[in-house]
Amino acid sequence: MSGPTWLADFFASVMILVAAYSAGRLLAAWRWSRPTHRDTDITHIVMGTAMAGMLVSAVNPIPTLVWEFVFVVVALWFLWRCYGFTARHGLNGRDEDHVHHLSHYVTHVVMALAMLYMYLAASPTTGSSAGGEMGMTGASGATADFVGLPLLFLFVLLASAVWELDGAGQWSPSWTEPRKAMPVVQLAGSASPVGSADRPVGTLAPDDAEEAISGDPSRRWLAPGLKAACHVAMCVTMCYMLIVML
Amino acid sequence: MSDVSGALPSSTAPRAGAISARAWVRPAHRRKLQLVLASIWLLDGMLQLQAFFFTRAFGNQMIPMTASGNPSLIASPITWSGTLIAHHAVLADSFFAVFQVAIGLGIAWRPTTRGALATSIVWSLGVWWVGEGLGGVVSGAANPVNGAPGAVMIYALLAVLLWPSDRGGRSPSFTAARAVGERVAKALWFVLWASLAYFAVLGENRSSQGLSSLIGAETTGEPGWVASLDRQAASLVDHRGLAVMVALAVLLAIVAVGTFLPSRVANATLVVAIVLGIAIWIVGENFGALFTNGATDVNSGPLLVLLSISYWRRVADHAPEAV
Repeated sequence: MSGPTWLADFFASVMILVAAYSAGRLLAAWRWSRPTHRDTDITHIVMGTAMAGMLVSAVNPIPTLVWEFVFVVVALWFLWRCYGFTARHGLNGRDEDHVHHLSHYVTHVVMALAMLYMYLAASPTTGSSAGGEMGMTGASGATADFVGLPLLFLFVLLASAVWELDGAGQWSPSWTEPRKAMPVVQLAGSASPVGSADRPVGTLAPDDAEEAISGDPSRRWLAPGLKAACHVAMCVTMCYMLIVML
Repeated sequence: MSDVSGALPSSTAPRAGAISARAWVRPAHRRKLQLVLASIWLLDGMLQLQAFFFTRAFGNQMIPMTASGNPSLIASPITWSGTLIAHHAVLADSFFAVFQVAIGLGIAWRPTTRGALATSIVWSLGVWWVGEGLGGVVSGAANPVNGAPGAVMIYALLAVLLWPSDRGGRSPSFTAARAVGERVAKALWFVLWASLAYFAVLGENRSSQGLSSLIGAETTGEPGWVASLDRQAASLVDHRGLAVMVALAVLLAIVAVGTFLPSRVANATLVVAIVLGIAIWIVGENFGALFTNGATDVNSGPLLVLLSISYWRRVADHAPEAV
């Protein structure tokens, strides 16, 4: 890998952490019967493990060829999800949780394709051994001139990272700028919000949701902010890998 | 992209005890521009993590190059910084990378946007001096085709113009004027683009071979197709340097005064500005030299485009935005 070893180790550690958290998130969602986007969490586990293996070949458990197959499947799955989303909600719609847009699925297609690109472009150092060792070096051969694609991946991933962070920042208790009534995403079944001069019916004050969330440990473990952090970490790490390979 | 699944019940059907969560709010126009700026800062930070910058060559070779031609008052701190960076290459570069990544993430994270933008201004001014030798403005080497007056100056300018506050008075007709007012925003635009027009016909830039030599010398380290593009462009302007640079200066001057013209005409000059920004980025800056493993930023092209978008007149909709 053409970069400092300690840096690769650092990013690999972050990716292992992301994969472990995503696995924990799946378990927690199952344990507490909470919803989670299983396909996204599974993808984060797979990508986290794969990227850690690309950065530090010693922790790569699967041969390269298998990883390539896995990411073709992931890309096809999210392409299918894009199609399904567009058919149900249109290009500008949001899904049932009123949060995910088409861009969520497109980003995961791009991430899967970026992984595929990196596997295909990187030069294997010891071939496809049982450990699937591969060195992350600059692209070689025909791919060396084919730099427009990774650049495109890079821009999409960076945009996705800042977009995700911006979205997560809206839920931050420390963000006080627009402290006004926000539209309700899902209404409580038993108790509808009561309107007032500052807070019309159908809206909640921002603090209400935070107070309700803070009491439940499952919500803390499954907090959207943590998932956003995982996504940002994954995008940043993938960007680093793509830049190293440019 | 964001996800509130952890805070929501598993079914969309109402159920007892369920709670509500805040809906995602689409970013306003200025916020979107801030996010683009954040992406560029993030990319800069990531570029700083390339292997070359962890070597002594970064401090010993790259930094001192910017001192060349500058008066000693400006050159000495650059040389001194280069030596310091070379002696602590890993530590210094790690700091540069983390700092720029933090600025990018800070702008994107709403609670820290102001702090990150303010920090970016200070950082940009420092880098303009030490990393870019004041963009060749003092040494007479500035050329808009390869990034004058220094990309980081445009980062600082964008941070000021996209500052998340609104001056009192009536709603401005373009986003860049929201924080500083229309008069100041227009003046800043004029100074930037008029200076670019001036640099275009400055000294060596107006020689018949100057532009061709500049473009031809940029092929080193580039992929085949970019190098080929450079060679063709260099051949096209060979012995026509003066005519091309004068034409460029005229276009830049039109863009500079365009901001004072009526909205529709001003927008037309902004289109010219955007096309120039893209052309400069591709031909003169080789996509910011991103493919050479030696780029520290995207160079000025994309920033000029972003700046131009922030000056786009919204003829119909002057409604104030949230952020």
